[in-house]
Amino acid sequence: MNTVIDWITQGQLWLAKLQAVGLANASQNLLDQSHLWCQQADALGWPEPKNLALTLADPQQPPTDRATALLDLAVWLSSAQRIAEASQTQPNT
Amino acid sequence: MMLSWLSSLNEDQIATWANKGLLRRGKKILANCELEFWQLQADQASADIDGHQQQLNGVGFDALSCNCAAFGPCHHLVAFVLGLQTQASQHNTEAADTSNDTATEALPNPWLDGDVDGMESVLGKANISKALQWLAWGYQAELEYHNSELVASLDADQEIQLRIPRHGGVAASVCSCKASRCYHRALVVIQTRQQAGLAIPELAVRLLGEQESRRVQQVQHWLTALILQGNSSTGPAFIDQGEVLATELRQCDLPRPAKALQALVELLRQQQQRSHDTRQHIADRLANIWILLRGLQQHPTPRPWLELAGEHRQHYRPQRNRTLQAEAVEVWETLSGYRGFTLHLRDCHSGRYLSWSQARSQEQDVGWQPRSAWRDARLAEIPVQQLLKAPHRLISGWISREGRLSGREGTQLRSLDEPLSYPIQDKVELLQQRQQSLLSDPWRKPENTLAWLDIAHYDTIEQDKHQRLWRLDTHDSQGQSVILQGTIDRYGRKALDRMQARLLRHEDIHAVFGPIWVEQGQLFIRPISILSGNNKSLVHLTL
Repeated sequence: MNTVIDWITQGQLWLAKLQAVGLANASQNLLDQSHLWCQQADALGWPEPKNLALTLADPQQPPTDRATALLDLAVWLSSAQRIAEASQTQPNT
Repeated sequence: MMLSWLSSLNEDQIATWANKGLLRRGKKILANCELEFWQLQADQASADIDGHQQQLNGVGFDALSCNCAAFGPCHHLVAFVLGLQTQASQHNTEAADTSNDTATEALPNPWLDGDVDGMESVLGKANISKALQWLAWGYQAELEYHNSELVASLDADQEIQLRIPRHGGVAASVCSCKASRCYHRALVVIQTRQQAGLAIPELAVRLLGEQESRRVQQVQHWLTALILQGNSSTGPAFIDQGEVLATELRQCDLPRPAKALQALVELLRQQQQRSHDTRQHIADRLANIWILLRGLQQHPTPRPWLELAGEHRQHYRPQRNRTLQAEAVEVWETLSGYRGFTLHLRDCHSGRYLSWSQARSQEQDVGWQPRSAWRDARLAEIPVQQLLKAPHRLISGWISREGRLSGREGTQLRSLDEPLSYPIQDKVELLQQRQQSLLSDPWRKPENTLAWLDIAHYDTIEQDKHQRLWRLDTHDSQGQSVILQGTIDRYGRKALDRMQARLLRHEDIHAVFGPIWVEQGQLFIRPISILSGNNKSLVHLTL
């Protein structure tokens, strides 16, 4: 069990679901999944992805800002996942 | 200074300034000249050739003049310069003979002379600005330092050769573009100054022009619209719009984001056809294109321009004398309606894999079949099938940064009388390379690592019809695990059938070639070719 990698994977799965249904059509239940993820981000000490997640999950924010926040978060997670994959790519695999 | 410049002149410089025809005519006319009547002083020279008067009033070809009717260099001036070169050389030799100073002086590097402010008057403001832009795009000249001159080759909008003599410097330089001041000179001077750790002017212009900025913004709007409406509710018209934007990005010289957008469009089409679960792949593609668009909009860009914008096929660099071995060939098709074949060749010196491809749009060229096309294909007049039978020397050719080999006219290959060998890649080294690639800058283009891996034991092939994938778990002779994985599309199925047929006949598979990747710490390879059977014959799986 790796907390960071699991947290990255959960974030990616959540974004994939949001992308599939569309931010405009996402249910409140799906948007609320951000709460636990943001708590973990706090625990890990990463405010930037947390703020992006809060923006994209907030229906009061302008739609374009929310979509941009989602794409920025996708980039952040993709880079984090790449670093995580590198840590798993040990030469003694 | 003028005498030093004249004595250091060579025929290549004169031919670059004039041309080879004028050089021949100049030599001919010089044979009938009486040089003893010419005037040669420290900063001035004059002569009378064929009833016309020639003058030299300082260093450099710009300081030459002739009163004949020709515009620019003429055969009189070529004869004049050749004669002066001989005279100046004699003068310098005599001066050296009478000099007591025998100490060896360091070669001068006049291209590094002066400060940043002075560069503008020598090179021109517009030239400096354009050169900085080209350097920011990632273009570099190839520099050869000789005792008498610096020779710079640059393959930018055209193939350029620039010569800057050590005696005379930029003022006496000649460029094959024929201009007396150009951005090629500025680029070479700035590049050499950068390499020497000297100050260079600052780039004051934005790299993304107005039209490109507009296109990038349009793509961003399209992407945000996609996020808002959702991947699963996009209609064909919206996807077509994405494809049009990809074409427009390509047209405004942004091929890498164009390719990333095209890949996203293809996944959206796959999703529409519900061929397999593409949700996570779509998320990866979105991140891939968004980071590029963000990077291109920054000033300065976070990575060299060419790394973010990509390169079109025409941006190939000339290459000479490389030993290449063609090792694998594959045929493929894309959901956007392209099909083609790719030949993979190994540069035997560096170990890097190069590729040469041919592709056609299915819509526009209905009769074209990649399998029959590869059988008839020729690279540098040599049948491609022949290339797979022996290593070849690339006498001259062009290779892109991404490792694409061009088949353009002028490419020369010669067969070598050497045996073929397929080097099995060391997995530890391979994984270290992969790790480094993953840890590198996030804007860096992920490398497609191709390798031969050995196989000692394998299970049976499993198929995942939902994901439309097949896989074969294997181990190498050291007991390390490698998973062979391919798709079940038109050509992927062919590869699967060929693998299955071999396993049913109990034919050993000794090695497999293809692109590798790592998932959850597990090494994967998509097989393109294999070495199988008792005589380890080479089998290309998609043919």
